[in-house]
Amino acid sequence: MTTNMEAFQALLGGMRADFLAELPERSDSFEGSILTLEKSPGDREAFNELYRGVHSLKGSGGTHGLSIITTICHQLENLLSETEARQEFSTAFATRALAYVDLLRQVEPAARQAQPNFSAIVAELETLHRLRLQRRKAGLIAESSSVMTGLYQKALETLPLQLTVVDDGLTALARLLHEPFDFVIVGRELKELNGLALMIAVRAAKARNQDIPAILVSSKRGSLPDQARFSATLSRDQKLAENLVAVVRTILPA
Amino acid sequence: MSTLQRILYVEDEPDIQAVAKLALEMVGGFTVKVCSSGEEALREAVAFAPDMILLDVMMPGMDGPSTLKALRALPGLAELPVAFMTAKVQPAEVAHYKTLGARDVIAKPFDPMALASQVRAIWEG
Repeated sequence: MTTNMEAFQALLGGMRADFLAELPERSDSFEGSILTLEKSPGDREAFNELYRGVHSLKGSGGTHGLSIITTICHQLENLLSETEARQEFSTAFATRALAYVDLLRQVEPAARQAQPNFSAIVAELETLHRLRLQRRKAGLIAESSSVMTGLYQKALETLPLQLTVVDDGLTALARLLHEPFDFVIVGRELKELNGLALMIAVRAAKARNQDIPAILVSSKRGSLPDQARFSATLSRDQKLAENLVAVVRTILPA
Repeated sequence: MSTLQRILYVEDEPDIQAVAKLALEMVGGFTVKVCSSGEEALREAVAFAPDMILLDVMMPGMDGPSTLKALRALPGLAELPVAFMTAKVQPAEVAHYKTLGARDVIAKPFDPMALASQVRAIWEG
């Protein structure tokens, strides 16, 4: 078995090297499709080829242990989806998309170093991510009920938001401590860590998002701990969707 | 049904196909047949007689869910364990895939060293 595992690891190493060698060619292909879309925004074939290629690379990068490629492709894929939804394949789109392709080009030489260091690429990715979030506000939905999650997403679909969904309080806490969000919607009865404890922890952590606007959705009435600092508390009633949209609008800057 | 031996693996991306096939064969000792599309899987599945099927979700042509639905109508495959392989593993998404008849979901990117044991665990599930 050990021999088999060693042989497998050697084969994996060879496949990873081949994969890296093909990366410049894939980057060239993406660049070509992006420039085609800039000139011909309605070119469905170019869009589909680009989207498919980015999606595939996202999967294969991770399979070869190159999570940096997965992260770059994930962000580029999101940009493509959002741009397609608004049909805004402009020069500004091309500039943003080509910035991701440039990062892909930087992966191959970095990965071939004896001690691969992707920190410069990660820093640039964060910058691009921030720029994207400035255009779309980022919300975290922490809710254990898939029915309620669906209701929030449906209610908010017309607002310019990027929503992330988690279904337990511990995962929500980890995301809130490490990722930038503009607001959070919290179900009171969360798994692992309930909604009140989650927000008390976020406020106490003195970390990222400690002052984030938070909306509590609850079927219970009663007083709430001051430390949780909820911006609004909404009841699970027939007006929930309408009230949620109204509250999110007031939280977000114009 | 005593041991897991034969796996039908449906995935369109050649890089991922190659790594998963090697992992399942060399680490897991399974017999693996790879199909590059849902259509090919429908042609090959009955003759291959798999113990389990692994299905990529996002494929050109027939996607994973459509392929699963069509496979279920073939002789001997109505109850066969099937796992989807996808990067979309939010809880609501996993729940949705299970309602379509998948036994479980394997997150992409998968760990090549752990894939075989992950598949075995789902099959035994």
